[in-house]
Amino acid sequence: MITGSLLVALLLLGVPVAVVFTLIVIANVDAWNIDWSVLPAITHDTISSFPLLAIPLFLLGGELMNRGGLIRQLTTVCDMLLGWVRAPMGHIMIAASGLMGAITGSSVATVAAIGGTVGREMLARGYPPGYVGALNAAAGLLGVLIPPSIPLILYGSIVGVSITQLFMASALPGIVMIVVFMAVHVVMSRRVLPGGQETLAAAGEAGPGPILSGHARQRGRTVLHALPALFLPVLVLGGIYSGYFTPTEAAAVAGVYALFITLAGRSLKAGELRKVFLSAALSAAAIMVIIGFTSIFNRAMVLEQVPQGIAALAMTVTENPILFLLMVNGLLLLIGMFMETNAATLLMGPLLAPAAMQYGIDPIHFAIILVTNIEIGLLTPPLAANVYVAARTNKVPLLSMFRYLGWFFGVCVAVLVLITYVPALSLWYRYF
Amino acid sequence: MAAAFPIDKFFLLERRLYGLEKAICMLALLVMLLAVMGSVVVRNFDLRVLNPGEYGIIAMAPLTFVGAAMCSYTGTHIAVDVIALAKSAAVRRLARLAVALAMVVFATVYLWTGWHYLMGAVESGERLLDTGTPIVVPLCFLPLGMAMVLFHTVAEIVRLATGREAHAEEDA
Repeated sequence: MITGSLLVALLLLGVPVAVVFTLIVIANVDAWNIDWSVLPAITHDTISSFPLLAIPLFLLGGELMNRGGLIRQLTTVCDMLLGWVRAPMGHIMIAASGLMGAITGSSVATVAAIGGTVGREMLARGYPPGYVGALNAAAGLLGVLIPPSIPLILYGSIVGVSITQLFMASALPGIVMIVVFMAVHVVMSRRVLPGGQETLAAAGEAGPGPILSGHARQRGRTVLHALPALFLPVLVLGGIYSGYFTPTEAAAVAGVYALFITLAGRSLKAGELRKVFLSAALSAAAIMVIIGFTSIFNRAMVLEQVPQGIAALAMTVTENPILFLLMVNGLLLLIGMFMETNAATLLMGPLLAPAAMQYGIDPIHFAIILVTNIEIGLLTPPLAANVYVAARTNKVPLLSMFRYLGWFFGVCVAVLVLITYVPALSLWYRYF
Repeated sequence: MAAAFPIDKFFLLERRLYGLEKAICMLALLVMLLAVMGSVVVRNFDLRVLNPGEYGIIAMAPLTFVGAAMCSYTGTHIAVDVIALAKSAAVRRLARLAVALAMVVFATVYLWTGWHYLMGAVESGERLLDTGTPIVVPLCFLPLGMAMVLFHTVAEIVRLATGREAHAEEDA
């Protein structure tokens, strides 16, 4: 009880998540029979992992793509492909977020990259700022649901399941999420745009460019120009699924490839390259600190048999896996509101996965439920990272976004229910 | 005048330390990239040379532990930022002090335990399996990083005591 209160108090005071969980362990060293000497050993052992190398490398690749202008190229191609539909920029934002997700595996990175390019163009084409921010924040969830995915790498490493299988399992739910976001945009664009149409006069002033009215030759040139950028998701996902690369190796190949094409295309100067590395290092360090230091808390929980306790407690409430999943969804949605995605995955994955397995739930299926749940938390305050980043990137007042966010939150929960109760949506690859 | 001078020097030293941390973390990231890429080349071309993948794992230690110090300076640690929304400046200052004190306890415990762990590794002379790198190479970054965290935290307490603003993320 005291430990729980201390944990909440420290979190609310703004103490870094990793430090809070370490202090909780330090405060309970005697009660939990932990030797002081194992604290640095567990931390160091946890981060000394080859699969975890994928995280900094994917972040570096994403940063290179973004600052090197490759995301803009991808967006231009999306513009060309989707330009024929009504209110195309919203669809382009969703598709480009999916493509960005296929490279970086990070929601927040996706929101920042796509908001900085497509967001500006949407504002220029007459979308209300609040809607642009809300769509940007919601579409950012695709950064994790479309493989590769940093939280799934974490889950796979800590629970001990195949990361490649996790990536395959998240692909179909990711596509479903794209479809429902596009459906919401079809409905919402009629409400938010004057006459349901974009202000085309503004098109081309910023962002992707005037491809909509372009000739076939111009379109061909656009595709040709973007071909190296388009090849990157193919390289990453193709390499992983063909068994040619592990996810970590794919991350390094993506980084080297992005570095090569940005340097060859002279879209980055030496000074900017330094900024790319620094930005990726800062993001990676923040995540690695959480991974390294919360591992002690996880180990303590395992030693205290907390996962078994949770399973036993849940069994006393219900033996029905459907009800168990309903409870888990409620709990994780709540946790997602207060905790950062990677920290929540690291803490809740090892605690809940063993309990889920006792209910006969496949750990791969459970991973997709857990990560989708926690990801939805990125849209719900107080800790709504996607919403804050979208507000900052698009220069949109936070409150103006909330009237539109409800729609996206609603469809995300609907997809979550689908993922939870239709295991085949995640385990589809086993049928082939 | 005489009292202000050492504080300015102290903050200048902190900036220099941050510069060193940035250099270490960026270099660690570059090592990771080259090491893992190198391991892909070695494996796929079946080269009869040392697989460099393990250097990438070694580079995780400076990125994490020195990176922890870098995040302390830039305020980019992952945290629940509810208190930042508080309207009262006094509440925000109190929260900053609480965070600083928590960081002091955390960094001191890890500096102490990390140092003893490092000394144990020095005595054992243990080496990594593939590259034969002494285990002390990655391990030395643990107490080093925690000493850096402690330094930034002391600087933050000094900033609080002298009414200065907390550092914000810069040049990234």
